[in-house]
Amino acid sequence: MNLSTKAIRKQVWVDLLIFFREPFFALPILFLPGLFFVVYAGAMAKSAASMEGFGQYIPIYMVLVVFLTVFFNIGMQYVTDKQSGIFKRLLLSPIRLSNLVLTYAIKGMLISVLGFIEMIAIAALVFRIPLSEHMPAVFLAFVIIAAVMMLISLSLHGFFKNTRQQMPVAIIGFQYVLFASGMILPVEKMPKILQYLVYINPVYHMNLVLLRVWFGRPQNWVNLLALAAWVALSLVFLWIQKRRPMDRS
Amino acid sequence: MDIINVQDLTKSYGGRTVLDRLSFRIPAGETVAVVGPNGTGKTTMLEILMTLRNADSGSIRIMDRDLTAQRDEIRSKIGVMLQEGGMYLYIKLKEALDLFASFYNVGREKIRQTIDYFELEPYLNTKYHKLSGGWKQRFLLAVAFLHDPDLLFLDEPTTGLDPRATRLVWEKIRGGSRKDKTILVSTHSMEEVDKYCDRVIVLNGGKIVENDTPARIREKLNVDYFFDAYFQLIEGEKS
Repeated sequence: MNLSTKAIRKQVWVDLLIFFREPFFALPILFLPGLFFVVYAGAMAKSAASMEGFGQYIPIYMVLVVFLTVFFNIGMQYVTDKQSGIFKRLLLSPIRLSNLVLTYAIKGMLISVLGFIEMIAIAALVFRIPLSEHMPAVFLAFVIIAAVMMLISLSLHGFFKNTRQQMPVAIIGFQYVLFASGMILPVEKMPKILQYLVYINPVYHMNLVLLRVWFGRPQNWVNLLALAAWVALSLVFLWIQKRRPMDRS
Repeated sequence: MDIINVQDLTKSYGGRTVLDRLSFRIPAGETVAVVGPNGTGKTTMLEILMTLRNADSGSIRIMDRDLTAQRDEIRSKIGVMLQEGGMYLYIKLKEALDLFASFYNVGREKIRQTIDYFELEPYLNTKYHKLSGGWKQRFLLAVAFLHDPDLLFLDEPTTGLDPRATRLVWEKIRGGSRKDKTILVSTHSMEEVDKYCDRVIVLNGGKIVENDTPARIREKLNVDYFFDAYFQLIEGEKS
């Protein structure tokens, strides 16, 4: 095993340890969505007819886990690591910046996949909810969605030097995702002006893409193009950050 | 041999010159203090030399390598201790040592020597945030020394420590086989400069106002303590 691989493996391991030790990381990101899922599914379970249609909520919870893990947690860790000097200290070792970013990505993916397994396990084992007939495609789509979310997260959080700058964006982003993504409020019942806010929300499009894969329906190009536009915008953000001088501490 | 050679180093932020054409050389094996009022550019200078920031202009050679062109090579050969710590709060000490050992390809034997020298054994399973200030600094020092670097940058390693903890930290910096290492340390303690440093660079307003041994500076200014010399140098610049 070469030095970089060994260092990346160690760094990912430490990142995961820290994630499960930090009091406010694992609890809201993995356990609470699972708990809400159990409570919600439990309420629906009183009616057998409701349970058959409950499958459509599984992708929604999966996208929520991706948002909480990759956008919220990884983004926040990226900024707090910069603020507390951890990022600086790691950069001063022989580990390269690209490898360091890779470790954030691997950690985000691993935790997201854990969230995926958690949702599937609760649905299948606790409530016997019928799962998708296209699970390999669902998993693949989930991983791609997590990768897109990772790109958006790291490119946006790269602009913040400290949590004072990042926190308002995180709070607004959280509410935006919760109330303007079609997850909780039906989009067609919103005022027209608010509907536009939903249509530019990447989580809304991720949700629809995953739902279509879940039910084996053909994709709508509008959703895919919207996500492609977000990927392009994120790459522009990264390019802007790369052009800035190396004085980001 | 000069381990650090700086010529005309200049750095500005938003039109304000923080470091103004600094030139100095540091021979191998010296412990050099960088002192000066807050905001005078000590940390900026150290962070440029430790490859974290870019200078606007000037030439810098570290261990006979060009700072701009051979950044990665320099990073693998220096040890650093940052003012803000830069350590995960919830990491256990043994995990952190393992992590940094993997970055520098340090073997088990060297990790064990470091644990023994810095007397970390009782705290190996303790999380970093549970350590006292003195132990935190001692541990950060152990991480800086882990890969046996020839050159170390220590940014205010004793700030906030009581006299006993300060003395212990300095004993670890200067003790054992570490006597031959070159150490660049920023500090606000003039007593530490007098007691532990071979040379001192005094910065004021982004310029070097003195660069000599504490003893010679005291002699030049006819004072008993470097503390008094410092104020003469700084206030002399202001007037």
